[in-house]
Amino acid sequence: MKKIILSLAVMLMAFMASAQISNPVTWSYGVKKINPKEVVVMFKAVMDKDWHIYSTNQQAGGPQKTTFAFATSKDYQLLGKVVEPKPIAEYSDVYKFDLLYFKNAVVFQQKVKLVKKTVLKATVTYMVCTDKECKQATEVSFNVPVG
Amino acid sequence: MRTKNFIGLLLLLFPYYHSFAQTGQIKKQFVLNGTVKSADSVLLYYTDASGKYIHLAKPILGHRIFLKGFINEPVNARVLFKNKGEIISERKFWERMTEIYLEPGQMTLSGSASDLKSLKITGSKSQKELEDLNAHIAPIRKEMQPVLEALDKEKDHEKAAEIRDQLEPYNDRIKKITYDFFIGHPNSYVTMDMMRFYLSRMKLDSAKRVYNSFNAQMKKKAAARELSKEINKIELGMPGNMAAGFSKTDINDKPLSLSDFKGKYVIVDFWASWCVPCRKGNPHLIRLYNTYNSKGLEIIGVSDDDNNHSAWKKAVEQDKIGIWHHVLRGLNMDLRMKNLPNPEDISEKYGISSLPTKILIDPAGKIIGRYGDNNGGSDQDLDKKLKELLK
Repeated sequence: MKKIILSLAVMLMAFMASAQISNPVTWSYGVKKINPKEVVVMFKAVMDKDWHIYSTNQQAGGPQKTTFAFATSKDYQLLGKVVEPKPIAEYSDVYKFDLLYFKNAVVFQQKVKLVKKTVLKATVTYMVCTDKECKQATEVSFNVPVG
Repeated sequence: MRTKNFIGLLLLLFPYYHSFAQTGQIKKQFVLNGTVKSADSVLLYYTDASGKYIHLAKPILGHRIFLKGFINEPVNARVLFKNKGEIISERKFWERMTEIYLEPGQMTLSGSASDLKSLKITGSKSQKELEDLNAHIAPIRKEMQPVLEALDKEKDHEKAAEIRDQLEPYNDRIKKITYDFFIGHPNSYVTMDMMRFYLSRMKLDSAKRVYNSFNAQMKKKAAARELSKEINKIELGMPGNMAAGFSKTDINDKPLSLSDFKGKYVIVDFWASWCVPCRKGNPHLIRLYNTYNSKGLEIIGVSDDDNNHSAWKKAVEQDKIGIWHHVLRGLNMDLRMKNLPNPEDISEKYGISSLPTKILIDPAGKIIGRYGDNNGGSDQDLDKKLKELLK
């Protein structure tokens, strides 16, 4: 029994998110099992040089924040909100408030309580900019096997 | 019944039908075996013949690995080795994955999991190509390593930006090698996969050169068709073509058509309220408008704010750009995400994928300039052009 738990301690997976033509962000996901009932689903964005994506807590009225939407299911419950590392904060003269963003790479995490082994469906909507240009907001969908 | 036989016949006549079958009825087996030391289990991630994402986990007994599955053409995959009870930290996890190309047939994978560089893969032509490319890039990566490490340690935002600039020459060299690889390996799956990520960083001419070098077989693949579609879209908005017409209701609820502006020079400015660099550029655009409007220049702002009209109106007011015309692009996110065409979307007609982008149209309705994105000139180029045209 102990052996089984140990081998399940970490089960990770990743992939290149579906074809993203002309997009400077590559998304991948991973799943970390913290105990037999709970997992942390991780979404990693790797950005090309000079590009940044905005925080999930970016104030409305300026650049669109990164948002995660999860399909509701009887098979799991979300525990809390999406957690992100501390973003870079920069005051904007245009909007008169702080812009919060990430450069290079960032991992967003969502804790999930599992009822049974299933597939978690998630969609991330995000926009990506450099100092000189922005890409129109886009969505990437994930089907994450959990459990 | 007759139809069924006909399809059967078609399948016999076209042995390569599988290459563009989306449903994946035709499967080919791959087998990956070999001897791998220093690991208890192997994990393999790939997309199978039916388009399903597969993660395969197998124990390694007596150093022997044995993996098999179904694919219908060479596919990009990831392999990861681990030991029983081992906890791979999130940071290390991404480094521990090895990119490989699976191909139908028999392949071998051997080496030591404790040194990923020792892994040898045989039986996959695409893998060989990927390794050739990586071998050319490796010395540059080694050269840039100290700079990357310095960047990793630097906490100061400004200083980090300076260090990042030092990476530019290395990245340019990698880009050049990769482009040469694309040209030298036109019918490689590696080229086709990588083009998806490189298109946005390449000039249109280079992208076209790579696409045109694909043979008929490769051009039928879904990835190549998508590439061709993207290239065509960008081409529509390039100088030399007639500007695509559009009719919208403007910000003041009045009808507006591009054709109303025949006889004048027009800048179609693609922007959005949420686009920081666009907003920063508005004072410059106001100066151009004030200088040249009386000499025959009009501006039509096309905003990507379809889902937030009040943000659009607020930005126009705040930036004092209500002096020129404003319409929305006509974005429909559902259609866009399903990759379906949307004839109402002005951005699609001009192949716009990045903001701000400005299209300059002459009095006859022909595109004579493109500024801002990867395929366009700079703001200075626009200034120079207007100075020549409208003295």
